Amino acid sequence: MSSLNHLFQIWHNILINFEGMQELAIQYKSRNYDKRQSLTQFSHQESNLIRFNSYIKIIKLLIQQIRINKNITTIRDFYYRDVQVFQGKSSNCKDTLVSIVEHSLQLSLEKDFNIYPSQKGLMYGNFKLRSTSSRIVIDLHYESEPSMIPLLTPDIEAAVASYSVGETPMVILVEKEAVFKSFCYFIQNSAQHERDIPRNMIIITGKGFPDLLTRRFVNLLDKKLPRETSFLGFVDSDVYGLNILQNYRFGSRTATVPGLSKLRYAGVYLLDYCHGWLEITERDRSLMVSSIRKLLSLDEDSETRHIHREITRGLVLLKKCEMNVYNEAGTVATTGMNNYILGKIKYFAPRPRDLLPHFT
Amino acid sequence: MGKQYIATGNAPQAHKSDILGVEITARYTITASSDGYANYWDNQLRENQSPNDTVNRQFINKTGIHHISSYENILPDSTVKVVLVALVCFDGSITFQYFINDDISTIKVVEGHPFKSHCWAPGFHKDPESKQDYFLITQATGATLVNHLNIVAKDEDVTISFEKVGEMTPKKSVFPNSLAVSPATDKKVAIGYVNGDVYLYDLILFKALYTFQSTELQLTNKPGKSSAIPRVLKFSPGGKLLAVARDSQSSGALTLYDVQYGENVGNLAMPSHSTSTSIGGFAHNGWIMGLSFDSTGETLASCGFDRCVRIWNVETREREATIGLSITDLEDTEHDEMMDKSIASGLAFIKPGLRAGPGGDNNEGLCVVSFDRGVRWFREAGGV
Repeated sequence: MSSLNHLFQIWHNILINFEGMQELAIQYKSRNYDKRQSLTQFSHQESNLIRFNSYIKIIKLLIQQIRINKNITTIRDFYYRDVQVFQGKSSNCKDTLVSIVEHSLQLSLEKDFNIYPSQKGLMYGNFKLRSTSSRIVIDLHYESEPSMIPLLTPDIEAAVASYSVGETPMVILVEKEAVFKSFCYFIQNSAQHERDIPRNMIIITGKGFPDLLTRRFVNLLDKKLPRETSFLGFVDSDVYGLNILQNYRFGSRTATVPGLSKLRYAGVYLLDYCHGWLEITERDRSLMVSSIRKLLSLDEDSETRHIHREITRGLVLLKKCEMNVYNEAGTVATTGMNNYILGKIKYFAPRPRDLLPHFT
Repeated sequence: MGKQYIATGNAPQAHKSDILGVEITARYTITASSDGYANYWDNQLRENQSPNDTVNRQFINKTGIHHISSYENILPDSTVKVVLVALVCFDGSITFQYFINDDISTIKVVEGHPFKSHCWAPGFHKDPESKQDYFLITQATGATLVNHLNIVAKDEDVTISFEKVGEMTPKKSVFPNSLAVSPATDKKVAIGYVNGDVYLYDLILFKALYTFQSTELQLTNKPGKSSAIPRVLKFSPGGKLLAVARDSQSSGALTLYDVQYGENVGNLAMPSHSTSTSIGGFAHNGWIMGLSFDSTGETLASCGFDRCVRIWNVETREREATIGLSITDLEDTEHDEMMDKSIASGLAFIKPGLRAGPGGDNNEGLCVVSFDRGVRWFREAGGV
């Protein structure tokens, strides 16, 4: 609490300084430097002035956040309260917030201010999470629309999972938003027509490279769901897609989120899906070679072997493969792709195996 | 006149990953894979021996091997026979292994050579006149390095060295993905670029003699790109013909060129009743990954994505035989359903007399490697 008081003290000092017509200086810490840095009110450098402005603004917004009883909010909301101060870059807002709260005041944005990272990821499926007081905190149905990944409030962190049907759930991670949406509507439609689909899927996309929240949510599921839950990844067969898969599996270097080693590379494989073939560029080639080297520094398991084999195949064939919602002629060509994804999911489902899907 | 081929043996799960190349030497069938191993399979198997019993597995490079090329020669002024194998790895480096007098236990690695990065497609030229041998390698940067290959033997002590004599670079920096060196005395080399062009160079003059452009009808608006990648090039044993296998969208086209006059002398294509292929005609219903002429040059074998091998009569341009590949060919049926696909990734004819077993003395053999990790050996039927 003393640090929070410190914040009020700072604000008080700022107000006094303005009245006293003295030059104001702010000292702060950032991620990159251990030493304190300072910003002054009348700096000669324009960038420093802008920075100074944004620090004052954030301090003011933080005070307001405390005064409105710390309603749950996101970093993005903070950013949109004054886009100009942050020069139109949400990352500036985030950096300033982290610098003030986490590095300078040694507080937690989430615990002390109820400010959470903005949601990027989407989820859809058939799945419930109940809080300890048996209030439902997540309630997904195949009939409903995809929704944002929830903020990981203490309520959700403490929640226990429950399912509407007694089947082992499956978590499906999809790289691309367009593929995710198309597949969700496909499932929605299939559910309406009572077609044979796995009953307990949770489908998630991080819209490209997953943000921290999406990864933490996926890890939360890993913790809450039964151990035999399978996690399947659907990414493009190119460096970016496979890197995203690896990012979920091992976490990034700086990440505080543990890896998800049981995530399987379910698709798309270069040889399965010729509609998505594209020539690799010189840049792709060198990225592919360096990701092979990176792979080899990791512990070898059957998944890294699959990924290594897939990348080397791409290099030899000089192709990569993207999951596309639209085909070359610009017409929607989703049925094949959605059936492919569903086929792979059924293949991995914990029951008698269907034939492995393959289409050209 | 059709030909027939009989399966004479196979090695299931020969590697842990895709097999990407095969070379035949007098004593060994050598396969290379993206699992990083080069396997030396003894051609002289005794009866009731399976290939897996006598294979010699050599670990080369963790990143995996994508190309293999071999050189075999009894050195002039000596009685030592040297087999030199170039294994090009995904990190762009080359590992050279050699052994003498067909004895795999003498295998050694060539140290201190300059090929450490950016390497892609290799090729040896064994001079029929025994004057100067060559080693060529294409590079991801667009150049093809030309090197003199010097092998000196003192008793059983062999010294192998490379001396760079120049490089061949086309005007545009396009990735040279395939290479073939003529076995004839006229010192010609063909280099295929990913934009569809195949350049025919003279090794002595360092000059492009002819350019064989792709006749692909579909154009892309991006320069240096084409869907007509010349995947495999092969000179006939006499060096008169050059066979070029190009992608034709999702099919594989096979064209023969006359090397001396630089002419397209014809396509090898499946007869088709479909109206949609009236212009091109394809050799394979998928990309072609391997080509091999038999020792007489009368027969050409091709294989690829459509999981089959086709045998062509070079004279009549007609198909003589088709060999289908399936995962069930392999004795051991336990496999990885996600990755093991029976796509034929390479093949090589085996001269009569090299393989043991009935018919091996008189008939050409054939070795086919695949993405299903199996190595399959065949021989032509008849004449036993």
